[in-house]
Amino acid sequence: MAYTKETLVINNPSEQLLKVIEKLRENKQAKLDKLRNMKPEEFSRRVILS
Amino acid sequence: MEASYSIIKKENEYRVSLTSVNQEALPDHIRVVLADENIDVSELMIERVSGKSATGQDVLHDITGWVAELFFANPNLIVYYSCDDMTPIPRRNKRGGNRNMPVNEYRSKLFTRIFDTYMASHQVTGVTNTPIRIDNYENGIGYSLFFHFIARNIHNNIVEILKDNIVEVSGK
Repeated sequence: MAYTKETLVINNPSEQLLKVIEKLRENKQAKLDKLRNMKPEEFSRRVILS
Repeated sequence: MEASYSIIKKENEYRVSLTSVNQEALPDHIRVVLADENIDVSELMIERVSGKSATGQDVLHDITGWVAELFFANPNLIVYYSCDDMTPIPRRNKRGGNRNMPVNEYRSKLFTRIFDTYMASHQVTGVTNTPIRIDNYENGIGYSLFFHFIARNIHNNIVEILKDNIVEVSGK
């Protein structure tokens, strides 16, 4: 059974699309910074594997 | 969606989060569709904050289980994952065709492999992974970007709208 669809490939994206992607990347960077700086007690779940 | 998860194994710590995508980056008509159908598109982020060992199967299994649990508990959730091209993968498999593969492409293939393995081993149906690759090259120089949407098949129409919009915005 196929769970993954065929990859949609877009060549030479427009400036408009690249701007949207850049905006999403900026948002991601901000979220990653927040994730890196979170205190242990702030996580929804914490697991320590032996 | 706003959920976060920390997993530690020896000196390695991974932090994972699922957070709603900031819809300001999306066109108005997409925002209307998402609101009408009460769809939450949340971004999956996985970040290693310490350690340089190869990531074990047990860690990947645990992270996958956490994401799956959230996905199945939230019937209107679509998971969005953009493959990181900023941080290296310590001790990754560099045999054969993987040797010169960019890190984000490697992550994309790994993401699909983990998804397909989870679906098969848990006998899940009705959920699909939609990969998207954007090639931005000029005269052979440039880069590729890799994205994934994980959605229930009943939300395929939403994923198709998102895909169509990407194609449309790209002027194809």
